[in-house]
Amino acid sequence: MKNDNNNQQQKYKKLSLSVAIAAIGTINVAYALQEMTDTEMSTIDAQDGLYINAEYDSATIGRVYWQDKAGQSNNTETTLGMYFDGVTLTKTGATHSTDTAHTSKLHTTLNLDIGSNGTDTGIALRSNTYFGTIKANSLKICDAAGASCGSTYGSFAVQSQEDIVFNLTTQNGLFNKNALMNVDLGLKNLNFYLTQQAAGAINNQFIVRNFNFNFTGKGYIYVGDNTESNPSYRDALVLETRDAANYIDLNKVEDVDYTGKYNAGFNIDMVYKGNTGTTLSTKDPMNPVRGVLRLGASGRATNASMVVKGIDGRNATPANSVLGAAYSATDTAATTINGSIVGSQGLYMRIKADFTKNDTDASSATFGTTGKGSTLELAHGGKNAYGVEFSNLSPLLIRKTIAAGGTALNTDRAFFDTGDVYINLINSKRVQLPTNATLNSSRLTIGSTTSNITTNADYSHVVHDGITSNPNALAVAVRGFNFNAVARTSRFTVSNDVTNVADIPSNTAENWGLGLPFYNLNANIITYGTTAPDGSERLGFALGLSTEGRNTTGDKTTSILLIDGADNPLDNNNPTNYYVGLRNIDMLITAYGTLGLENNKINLTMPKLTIAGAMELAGGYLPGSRYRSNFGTVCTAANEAACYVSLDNFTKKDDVFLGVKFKLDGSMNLDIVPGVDTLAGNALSFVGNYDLKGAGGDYTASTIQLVDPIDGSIVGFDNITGNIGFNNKIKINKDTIAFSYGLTFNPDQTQDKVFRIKDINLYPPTGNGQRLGEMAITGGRLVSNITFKPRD
Amino acid sequence: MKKYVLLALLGFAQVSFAEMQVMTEEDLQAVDGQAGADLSLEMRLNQNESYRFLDQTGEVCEKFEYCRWALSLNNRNHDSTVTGSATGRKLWLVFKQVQGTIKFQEIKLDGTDLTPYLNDLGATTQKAAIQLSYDATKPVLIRNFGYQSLAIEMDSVANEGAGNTPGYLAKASGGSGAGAYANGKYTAAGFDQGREVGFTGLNINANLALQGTVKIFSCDANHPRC
Repeated sequence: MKNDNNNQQQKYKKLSLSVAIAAIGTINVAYALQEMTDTEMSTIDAQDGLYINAEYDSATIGRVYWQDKAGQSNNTETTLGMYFDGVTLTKTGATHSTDTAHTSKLHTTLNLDIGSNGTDTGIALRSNTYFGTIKANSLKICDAAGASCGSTYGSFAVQSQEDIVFNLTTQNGLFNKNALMNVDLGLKNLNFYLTQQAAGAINNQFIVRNFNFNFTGKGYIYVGDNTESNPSYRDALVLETRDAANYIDLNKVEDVDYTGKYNAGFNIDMVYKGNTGTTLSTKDPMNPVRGVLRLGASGRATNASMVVKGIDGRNATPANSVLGAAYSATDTAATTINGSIVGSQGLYMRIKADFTKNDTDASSATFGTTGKGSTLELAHGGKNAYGVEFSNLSPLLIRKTIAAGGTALNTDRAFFDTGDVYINLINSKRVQLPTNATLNSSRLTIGSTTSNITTNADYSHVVHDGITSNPNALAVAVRGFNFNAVARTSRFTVSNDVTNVADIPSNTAENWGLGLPFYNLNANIITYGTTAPDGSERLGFALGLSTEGRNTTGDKTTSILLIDGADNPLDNNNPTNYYVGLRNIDMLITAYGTLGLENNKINLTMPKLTIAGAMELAGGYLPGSRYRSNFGTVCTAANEAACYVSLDNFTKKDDVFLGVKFKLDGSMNLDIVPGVDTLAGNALSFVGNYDLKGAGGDYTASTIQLVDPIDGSIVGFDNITGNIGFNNKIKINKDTIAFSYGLTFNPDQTQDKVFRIKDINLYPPTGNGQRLGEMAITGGRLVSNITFKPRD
Repeated sequence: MKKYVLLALLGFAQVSFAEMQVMTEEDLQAVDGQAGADLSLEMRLNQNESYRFLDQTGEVCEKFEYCRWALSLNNRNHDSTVTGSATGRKLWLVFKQVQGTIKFQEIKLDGTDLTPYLNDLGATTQKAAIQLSYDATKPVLIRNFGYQSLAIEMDSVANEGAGNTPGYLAKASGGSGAGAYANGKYTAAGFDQGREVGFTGLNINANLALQGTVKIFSCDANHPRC
């Protein structure tokens, strides 16, 4: 098809899609469609097809907002909106792109080709966008009219350093449920800034630097109708790979400052910058950024899907809806359907994907192209940062069946599934988290009173402690997040700016790994803008988090495991799979408070923080592993069934050294101190104090209990009160990981904050505890340094 | 031992077998099948890095009653009544000026299997264990570990009532002659002058050289000793 060449360059005050649509309308369609082969369709030549390049100096948008409905405690719904005010697009600086066809002006370039193979018509779209810096002066949650608003979160900015790439190729139409699409989305080296102004007009920034989401995918994108066989696909935007041959790749991105060096394909590098004035820069030599934490993921994933839709989350019994019934500021609950916190409008998402184990798995013949195995990275943030890269992501079970003669390894892939994620604007004093049966049935005796570690009341947690009105807030609720992956190979890494050879870790992957799987994680994350008494902008927040220890068959678990994977010669040199760590963790954390960026720290002030948990300290073999030696008459070189660890090993007590149960309830003031920008100083520190209040008022008793795995008898350190200061640090070095704990008992040295364990109880397997005595630590400082150096 | 055997084998290789090659460092490490981790652990209570007790101005134990550890047993009140009685004052065993450093310079952590054993059901069982290996050339350092005084103290008010000074914060005055004390410390000239009230103290300084391994494993119900 021959088209007019639309090569006009015009300046536009506002960027809008209508330009593209209007331009397409002027194309001369006088010629017959010619057959295009697949190769031709994938080769996009700007001379054929449609080419639009829109350039502009700046754009002012004013207000951007999103509205949804929220239930209130008076059983009516209201409309709330999240408003970005003062939105502008401006140039970031000098030339940014290596493509000489582009100038430093803001621009969007579109290339569009349409072709047909005779029966199907597909399109090929290539677009590059350079938007400079998008800035919003404030983010507030307001009522339906946008007039009555809460405090601002701060000001936001997104800064681009190179073009954003979006390519799309379809074989048959657009959003066709049964036609394959290839999509490239290159979000590279974006910087996100949250700026809060503290007292004295000092600006502090929390920055996500060099954000990458460099995504290439092959699959199906469509809008599901209400007859879809999968209920969560109904009336939803669905993206999925579906076929075994399809995949998504997160390819590494070249570092914008260091050519030839790369960052993860999905990269979140969190840093802090204090006293910034009005500048938006991560490269200021006078005020360098300080690292907090970096998370990264790269490689190929498959069996992936993403669902996005609007949802009516109400329930005729509002307490059974996702976040529960709305509560007034005086703690009166709603009772009918319109009092469901989430309201009749809200956003729903679900993302899941399987990880590939290694480069061989990622390049298998099924996919047809070479790929990289999935890797996950955890590192210090910013520059001069060491980290660890985890690979060989596998499920917990080493084998899925055991039989005599030796059985094959588990070929399933590790996966993650975010579960149901609900995003809503809410107005309520309390929100609900699903209850955990294990914690609700773990006994606790204090004096002669017997109860359990948690009760149902602990799962309805408070958003704020005001008594006059509820702030309008943004709530993200996660239900059933599963991360069923254990990393069995790790290596130390360092950030791209380090060039001295002596400081760079060796590149060899080592046979140890870290397993941090979690099962059935539920979370409520609530945020709203607020102002501190001294006038500083702060973020109000509430957090509820719970995990389930394990499922009934023992193949999904929440654990923190260290895995040693040296080769086992009796198992064809497959890794041995010893593990040690905290296993089957049932956990509940609830907290509310405010977060601020003052004084070169990220400060969390929490009037109430409750942490409750039950876990096992255990060590042994992962389920389905082959023992390292033959023994007796039951396990011989013929690979009898007795040579393998049972598949339900995590449901048994055979590996358990000790059970641990605890509940801590009090107020906490926590500072997360970012690292200094040097190799020795870039560590993550947590400084603060935890004031355990003891039972009374809003607080419950604190306890730590050690449980015998055989008969369930317990030594309980119950009814703990007192103020504990802590100064903890985690540092990843070139080949070691160092933990430092500094506990200061009763830091203010007052009589009523002495650290006391008021009841030391001994519990028989069933029945009440018997009191042994009590213990007090009047004060002092205990410093503990642990250095951990893996060896292969 | 392995190195000597290897050298002998290498000697043979050069004489008669041209195909045998010298093993590199990586090869030598690969021969040892135990992957694991080296841990070093230091715990320091109320001391600085030179093992000095932190009781100077501005330091954590400047107020000496706030560096104590105390224990009270159930049903131990001064008038022999039970815990919670209206007349009884709690008795505390108070360790005063506790301090100490314990430093494990290197512990090797590995996974290993125990020797197979016969369990309670008569079956031969294999069990995995955590193995901690110690090296006598890297002893465990123990520095100034202990307490200055041990005393039995009493609350000042019955049943922790209003105005109570608990036994663990006691700074009493009394005694006479050589045993006179004021504000919690002895005043008469002699060894005890300026030290906290109590009847015994403990101070350990040692290098503990351990050689060998400790295996830690879970004691499940079918193990003959559990």
